Amino acid sequence: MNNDQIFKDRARVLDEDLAGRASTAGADALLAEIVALERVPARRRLLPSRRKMAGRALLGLAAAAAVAVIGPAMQSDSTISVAPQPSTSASAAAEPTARQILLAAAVAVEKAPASGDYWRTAIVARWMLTDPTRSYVLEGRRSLETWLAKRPDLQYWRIRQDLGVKPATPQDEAAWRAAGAPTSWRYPKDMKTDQLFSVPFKPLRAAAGERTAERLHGTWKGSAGDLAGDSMTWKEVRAIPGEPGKLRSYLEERIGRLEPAGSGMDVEEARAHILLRECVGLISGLPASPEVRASAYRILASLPGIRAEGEMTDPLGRRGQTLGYQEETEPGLFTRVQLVVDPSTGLLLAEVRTNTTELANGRQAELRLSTSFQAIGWTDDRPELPTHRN
Amino acid sequence: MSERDDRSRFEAVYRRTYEQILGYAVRRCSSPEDAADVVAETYVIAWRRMTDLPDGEAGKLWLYGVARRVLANHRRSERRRLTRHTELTGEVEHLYTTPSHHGEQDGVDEAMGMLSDSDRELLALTLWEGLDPGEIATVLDCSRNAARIRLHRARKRFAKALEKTRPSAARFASRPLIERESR
Repeated sequence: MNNDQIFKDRARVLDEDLAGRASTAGADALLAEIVALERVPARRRLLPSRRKMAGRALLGLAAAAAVAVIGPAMQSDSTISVAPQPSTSASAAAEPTARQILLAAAVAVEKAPASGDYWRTAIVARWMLTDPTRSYVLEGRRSLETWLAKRPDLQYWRIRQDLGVKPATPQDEAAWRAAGAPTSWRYPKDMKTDQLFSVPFKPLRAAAGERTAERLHGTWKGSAGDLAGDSMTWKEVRAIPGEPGKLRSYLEERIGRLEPAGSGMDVEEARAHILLRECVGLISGLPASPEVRASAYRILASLPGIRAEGEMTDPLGRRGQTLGYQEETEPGLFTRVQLVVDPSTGLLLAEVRTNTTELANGRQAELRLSTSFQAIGWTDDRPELPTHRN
Repeated sequence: MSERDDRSRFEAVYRRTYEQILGYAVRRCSSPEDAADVVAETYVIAWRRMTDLPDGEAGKLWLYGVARRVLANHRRSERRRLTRHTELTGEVEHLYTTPSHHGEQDGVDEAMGMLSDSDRELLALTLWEGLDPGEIATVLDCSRNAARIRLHRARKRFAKALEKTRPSAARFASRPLIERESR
């Protein structure tokens, strides 16, 4: 066989699979979403966050800009501030700092099992959006398990289930009842979302779905996950250096290879943010060694802009210590991010992103996106496969 | 140009190029979420920079160039959220879970893995995206001649890598009978 053909045969999808894709619901939804975006992100240039601060990158910048709006001041020269919350000021002195929490997590995660048949991640994702009339907030939930195997004789699996949609809070439930307690919602294509959620293209339904398993094919096979935009083989993940200084250089080198995507983001700003996200990714997403994950916590502990916010209950009702920072989700749009960590196991319990929106009656409502981790780590268990498979 | 004109022009470009950009992303990303994000981000950039977007076929090549940079960088703009582009991700997932047309061939992935990113991308642009050297030159922003030479070298390196990763296949060509029996 000709080598060109061999290469060609490796394509994940062929052109014939793609025929007719330009007019699917997904293509329509994306088009509607894009043309609703502001054309020129001009606001961005006016933000004080654009000010250059030598050597101090995005987190500081984004945090400084957002903090100026929401309250407690952060000293620009302090790497980590204790940042007592107004409500907990009495016990503020006893609250651990972000650095202390992250270092405790680093020590704990070093003791996690270092191998097994499967690298398993089980999450529950929750997201909020308003109903089509903006009268109340709805929350959708979905569970997702990913089973990645090092051994070539084991299958990669992904098991998912839509867990249904319902009013987000008791207040929303009252408004939903007043609206006749609908169990499905049809959204106008051009609905205003302030870019805080995507408009469901098909009617949104309250009912939960079936648990469905998919066997993963193609380049999933042999992949252990992603780092800095690249798929990583098991061998590459094993080769990630465990010592904090070396890990940081390794990550910075990879991040340095990324090209600015023309999205208007300041390069330094983007890189600092990517470093933070890669560390979170190493902790929550990749089958990296316990030492690497511990070092990722140690790098996080050294970054500016991460603040301790005290104890919090995660979306699954588990208690953990909260670390917060600000993220510029869209130009000029800041999102509050909270990482909930269990310092005794070193596991990330949840990531919660919060924005605020105004409902039709003027009520300010929080729109949260969260990922709660039920399991991250090695196991010799096998996935419980539902009868329904794709 | 009025906003309405912009919209209809963008919509026309989007409909005309969508399948190709989707294919570009799906063939290169290891997960449907990533592929959906690359497609979405590519068109967001196109929308924001529409004054730079050339008309006609050149527009498609320009979009490939944007998609290539997005792919190199996409992962981290925190726009990728499980909940954004749910429809699109769902559709892309189908492309990932359909059993592939091709049989798994020994050593091909390894051979592709031995190539540099730029060699792999050159071969992909010509064999997956079906671009000729002139078009590749536009996407990669180099001269047509440079594209032709680099493509030639990439082909040679791929052939070499294949020989290394599938010695049995190389021998198969010269000693078909023996090889077939020993399998």
